Amino acid sequence: MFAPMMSGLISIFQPIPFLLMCFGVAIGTIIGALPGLSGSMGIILLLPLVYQLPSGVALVMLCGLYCGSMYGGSVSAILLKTPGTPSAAATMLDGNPLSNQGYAGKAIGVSAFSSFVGGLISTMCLILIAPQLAKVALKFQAADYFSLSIFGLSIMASSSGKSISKGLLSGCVGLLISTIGIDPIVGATRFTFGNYRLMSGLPLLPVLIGVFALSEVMVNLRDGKKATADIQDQKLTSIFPSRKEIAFFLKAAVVGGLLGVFLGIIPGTGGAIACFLAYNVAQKISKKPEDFGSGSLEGIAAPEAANNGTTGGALVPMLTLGIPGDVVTSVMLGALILVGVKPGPLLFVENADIVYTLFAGMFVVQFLMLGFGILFAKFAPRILKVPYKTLMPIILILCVVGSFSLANQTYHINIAIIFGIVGLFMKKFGFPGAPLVLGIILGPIAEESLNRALIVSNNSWSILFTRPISLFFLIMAAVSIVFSVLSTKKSQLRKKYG
Amino acid sequence: MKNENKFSDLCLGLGFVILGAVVFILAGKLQNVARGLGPSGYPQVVAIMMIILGSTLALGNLIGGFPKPDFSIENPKGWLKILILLVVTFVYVWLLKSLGFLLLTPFYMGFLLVLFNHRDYKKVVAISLLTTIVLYLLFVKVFMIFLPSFRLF
Repeated sequence: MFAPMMSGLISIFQPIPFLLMCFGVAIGTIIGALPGLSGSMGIILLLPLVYQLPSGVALVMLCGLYCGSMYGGSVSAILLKTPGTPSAAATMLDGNPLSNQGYAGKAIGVSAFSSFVGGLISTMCLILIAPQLAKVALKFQAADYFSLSIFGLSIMASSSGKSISKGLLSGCVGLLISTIGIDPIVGATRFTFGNYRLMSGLPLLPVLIGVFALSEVMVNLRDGKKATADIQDQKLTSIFPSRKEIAFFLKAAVVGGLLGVFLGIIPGTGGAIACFLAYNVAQKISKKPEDFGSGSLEGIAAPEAANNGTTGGALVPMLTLGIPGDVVTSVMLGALILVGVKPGPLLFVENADIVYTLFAGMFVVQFLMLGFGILFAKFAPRILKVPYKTLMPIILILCVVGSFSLANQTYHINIAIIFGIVGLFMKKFGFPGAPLVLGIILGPIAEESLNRALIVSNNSWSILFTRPISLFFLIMAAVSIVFSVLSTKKSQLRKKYG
Repeated sequence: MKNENKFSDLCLGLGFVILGAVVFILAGKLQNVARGLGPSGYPQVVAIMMIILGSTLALGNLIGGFPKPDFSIENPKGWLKILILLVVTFVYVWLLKSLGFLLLTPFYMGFLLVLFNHRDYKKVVAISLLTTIVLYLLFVKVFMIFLPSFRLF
């Protein structure tokens, strides 16, 4: 493992990849800090650039953006009491009170350092766990892959919306969209309605741009978001925590990081759960639990470490099984496919160099994030004052240019606009976008696997239930759906009866 | 759940049932194979799933009686803005091929800024020009990505 890691390190320390990685971290931090913009939107806006890069460099840059956006969310949680990302909500509980006491710089510094600790822990776990899981996944057969795709979709559907049936329907629409074009079995054309452009199916990049970015711009236009953020005017000083302070909150950060990794590996759990759980645990093990809620350094450290701990954890199922852990990794999965990297166990065999470049890159990204996080704190108040009425039109132009750059065709811009409208109505009626995109990505894998499984079994569907791995994934899919239905019912009853 | 949500969910559920049925019929007309799924099998499996889920969504909203229809539009001004944005964007995309990115984008950007409630027109002009030039240089000169240019014919 040492030699390929060294070779990965050498490849990322070349001038261009290193600069791009820095760019990814910087953009991710800024995007994460701006409430309403997410890591997934950042990835989408960078896709036109990423699309031109070698796979390994593109992957590392995206990971930089992913980690940066996870940290960035805490900056606005601390300064504005508005978390930039849902997972930064727990950081707000102690970050904002500390900021109100005049220690905003300290709060951001603790957040950056804890994100660094959580990120390092998650990178180490990624390096140790992912290759082992990939070895197990290499034993998967066609039926197992089909059930795994169903499991991935059910997890995403049950975790990304309030209604499980809407989530699953969204996934079904994605699966259906993936059937447009030439079928992979006998080469017949399906649902093209005589349009030659549809023969190669719907292009993924414009769909991603439409569903995640354009729809967001339209929602902002409709709702007329506040012009600028209410930000306190205070000079941010003594940002980096002292040794004594680090010694005080390090335990909470390590515990948070480990919890983040563990929950990140489980697809669908997401950063928000990990952060609140870490906050809770940190309070229980703290020597000063009474300080929580009024600006405790441990109260900032634990959720922030957990937040970045989920990054490496969520990459484990995405890289080894091709199943994303959350919305950002589902967009990242699409981005990777666009740059020619096919996540799954074979990635570790056929493209081991890319995997080790990623591992090495993830390590370096954590240091860059710490450095940029501290530096960013100085400029954060000014960046957060950029009005939405300026930001949104720029994002829209970027979406248009990004869609066009895929194949130098205005057809792709039209696809993006159409899916922007689809995304807008999905938001209005409570249909999550992530299962739709995942359905488009997993559709061809599910179809080919199911077809191969049926050919092998002589058209017997029982193969899905007689193979233990396949049965395991189907049971897990059913459990995730039942669990989601029960928790929705429970929350409805709680609302009804207080 | 609000009554209007229940009614829209009922309609959406029925819509998915109809979509699933249409897909099932259309897929049935595709070629069939003796072993495996063939081009028709997989879309039909997805269509059946869609019909089941659509029915679940529709029936779930019928519990407790038929929901009262509500056709009122929340925030009509906001929706009108979106409609204007879409029309202008489609026109922009249509003209992009002939007028080119550099010539057309400042006007489009200026329009977007005004639509998003920018009222300082000096700033609108400055941001529009600056954004267009920066994006053009970034994409064409740095990323080497071709953007449409002005064509007389």
